[in-house]
Amino acid sequence: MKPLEIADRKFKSRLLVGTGKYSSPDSLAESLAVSGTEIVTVALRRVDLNAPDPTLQAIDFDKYLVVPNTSGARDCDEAVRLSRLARSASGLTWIKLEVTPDPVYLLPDPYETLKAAEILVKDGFTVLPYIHADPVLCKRLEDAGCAAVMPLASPIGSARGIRTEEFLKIIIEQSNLPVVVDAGLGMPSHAAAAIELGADAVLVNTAIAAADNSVEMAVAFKLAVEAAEKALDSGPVKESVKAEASSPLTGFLDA
Amino acid sequence: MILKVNGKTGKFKNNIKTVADLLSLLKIKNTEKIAVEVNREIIIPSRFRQTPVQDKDNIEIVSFVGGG
Repeated sequence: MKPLEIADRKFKSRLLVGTGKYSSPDSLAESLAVSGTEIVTVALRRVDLNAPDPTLQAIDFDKYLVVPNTSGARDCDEAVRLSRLARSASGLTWIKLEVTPDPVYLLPDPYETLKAAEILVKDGFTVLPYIHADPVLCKRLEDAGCAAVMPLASPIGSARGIRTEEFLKIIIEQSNLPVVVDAGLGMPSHAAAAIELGADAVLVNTAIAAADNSVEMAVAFKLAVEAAEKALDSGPVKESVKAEASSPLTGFLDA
Repeated sequence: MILKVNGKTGKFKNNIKTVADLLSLLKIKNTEKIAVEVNREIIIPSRFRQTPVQDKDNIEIVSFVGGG
């Protein structure tokens, strides 16, 4: 497979890893290291003046491309404000755009996301929007100048795997942008399935972070993504309804 | 002087004259990975020393946390 390319950058790994919910900074640092990831996401919050978040120390900003998200934003204005703050803090223009007004399913608001994407692209950001698996919206975001699209597999943190398969297939077929399947991938097989569908990459957070052994789970996801890549490179057999015998149907013994 | 910092209103001494003074008082050392807003305007790090804080300013100090 050709290397993953987003905006003007090439990446060897198709596994993007989120940094939330780890049991310790050490677990996070080691999980990122063994996952082979080159792109990690972070969120932006008010500095807790009493208890600063130790996560930051665990992330090597020189080793990974650190992409801040706009989680917590409920509309376009909040997302744009968070993006500009994130740029000021990181010095980087990459942003994972998330606008999730619904607190129960954290589903993204397509209208506010598109509005924010248009503003941020004009403002010079490299925009990676988190969206529902909506092929039409993907085209609108492509027209707006986004660098990738990040359709969801199932709700954030739900570990329910790929529940949007038919629409992901259409997105993958039609998109001229890299497609990063994000959210809801609970097991390595889900990540492999996304790559086998033709997604350019996957983003995994909770499934690794909240596992009993995050480091081993990070390895499992790495292997799954690599297995799927290798399979696609190996010319997979086409599905058929009827059986295809594995041995010749001639040369039997006489009855 | 009254300042609102990250949503909490508090009294500050008048020797806090700039954003840099405030960050130092709050013991925020790693100023590399933070962003500051004064009254909704982003202050870039290279201007922390020049940017005054004044009575009734609303200041937000944010940084990165784990996220997906």
